[in-house]
Amino acid sequence: MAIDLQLTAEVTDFLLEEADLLDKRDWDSWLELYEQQCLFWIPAWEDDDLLCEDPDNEVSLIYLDDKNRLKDRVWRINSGLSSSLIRMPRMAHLVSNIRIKEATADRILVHAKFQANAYKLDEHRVDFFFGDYHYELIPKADSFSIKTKKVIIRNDIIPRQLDFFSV
Amino acid sequence: MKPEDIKWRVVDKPGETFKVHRSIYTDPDIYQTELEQIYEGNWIYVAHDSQLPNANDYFTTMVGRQPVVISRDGDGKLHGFINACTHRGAKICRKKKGNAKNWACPYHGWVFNPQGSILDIKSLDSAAYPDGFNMHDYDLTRIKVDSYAGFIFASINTKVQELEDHLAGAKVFMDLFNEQSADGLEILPGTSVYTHHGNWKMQAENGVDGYHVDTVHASYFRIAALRNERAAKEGAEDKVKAIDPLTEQPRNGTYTLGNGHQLFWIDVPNFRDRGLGMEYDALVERVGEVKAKWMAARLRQLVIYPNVILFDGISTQMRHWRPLSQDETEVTVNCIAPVGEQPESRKRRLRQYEDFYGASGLATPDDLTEFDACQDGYYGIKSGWHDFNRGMTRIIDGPDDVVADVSTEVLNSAPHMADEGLYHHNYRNWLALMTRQLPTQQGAV
Repeated sequence: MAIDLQLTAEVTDFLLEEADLLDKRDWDSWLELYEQQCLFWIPAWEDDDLLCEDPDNEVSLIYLDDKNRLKDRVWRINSGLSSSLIRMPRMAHLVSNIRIKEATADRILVHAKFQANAYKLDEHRVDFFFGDYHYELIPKADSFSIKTKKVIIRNDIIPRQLDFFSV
Repeated sequence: MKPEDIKWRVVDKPGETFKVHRSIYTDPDIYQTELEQIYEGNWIYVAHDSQLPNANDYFTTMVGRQPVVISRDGDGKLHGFINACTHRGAKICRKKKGNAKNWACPYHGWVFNPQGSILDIKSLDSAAYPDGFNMHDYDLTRIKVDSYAGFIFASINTKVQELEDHLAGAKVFMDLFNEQSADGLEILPGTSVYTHHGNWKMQAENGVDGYHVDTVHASYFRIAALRNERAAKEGAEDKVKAIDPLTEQPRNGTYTLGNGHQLFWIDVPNFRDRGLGMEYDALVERVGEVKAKWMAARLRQLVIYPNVILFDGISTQMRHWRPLSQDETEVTVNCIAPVGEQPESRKRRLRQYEDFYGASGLATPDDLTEFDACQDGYYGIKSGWHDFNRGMTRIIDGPDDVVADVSTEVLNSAPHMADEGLYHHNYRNWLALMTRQLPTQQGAV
């Protein structure tokens, strides 16, 4: 398959922009990247190599099938009512291995790898999650929007907390 | 540890005061004694039947600090062993779970069956073992395993009391969970493991702590309200329908059930939004009004001491833990559900589960943060004592009017979920376990 370098460059910039907004905790701009009818999904693992791919019958770590539910999580950070979110970690999301798997006028399927590094100030500790991003993007006039973001976490023992910003 | 080094840490003056010293959460000697007396002397929850349903299935886990394997033989009988080869100690079963008619140790090839019996020693003919060597002395080291209502427990202590005696007043509430389907319960695929800084005893305390709910989980209940407002204003579909037992201040309370087991309950106004509540009328028909109300309309969190909580309220969760040190705990969580429930109920159960529970939910991370903060605070030993006095003057001996419908095996009851009388039972039991002489220690000074 011929590689569309122009599209790959545009998609790469879009993914890196999302990573940067998360690191900067610019939640409002981050939310703007998502479609109203979107899915943010982190499946759980059943066994060493068996991922739970059927969210209506199997457990997901996070399954947010509507932008309002992403907004719930942003609201929770801003509310000051959640003690787990008072001292937010300093984060650096690294995104790489970006490949376009399918591109039509209506949608673009993208696979990428990530490592999301967190420095937790209250615990004096560094944690990170790594794994895969599977995106379904909708092409817009001069950018994209996110219809689906599926995150496969490969190191899934969770040190105290996992939220949308942790991956 | 000598009993007198432990006893002073629990101040128990009925009607006057109940305090525990915070060193029980930080003292490495206390922690070592807990491993021996509680985690290796008592029944420990290890798995649910549905995790090893077939002949020759096995499941590996930990009892305290010891690796174990639980197996089901060809006749369906459960067995348990220390997961270490009797030859040189390598773990025999390496995967989390599997199915095998026999197990070959990957190190030197000794072979065992799921009953733990040794079948073969590699190159036995040329071994030049001494005359007294008998292969059949080398069966895997057996531990006690038994199950009740589908919940499997194990004990390193082979002289531990019978499981049903140990479970005491908890059995009724295990039945109320298990009988939600005529075919019992199943663990749904998808296990999550999380760790936190914080002593394991806080897991057992917090699971029946009604006093923290509205403060620690304020953001969760506010989000539930915001979803309702959004649904009313914008017509936005609420796909979660979070269970909110606090807004209407319904009846609630706690029970102590013997051997450290405890239950906390709240009536749920919107119980028909729960997975089981969606099938409520059929449930009433099958089990009757009284049991149906307990199962579907009354949030229950049952601590089976020392290491598991059965949650049935916001959704349904099995949460069990093991201590990693006095300061660190590892927690394993699963969603558990009635076998054969309707697809819409199953989906609702999962969405409510993910919304609240687990280190990726909207509630558990706040609990874990408080455990961490407590563990740090406990090292401020100049401030040395916990206060468990709330509700002291309204403790009811025996069952109250609510529970009397289903159980008489209740030591005492409290009419408010925020009362702390159930911790008196928790720490009296802890002290009894910590200061008893185990059969294996008889003759020791």
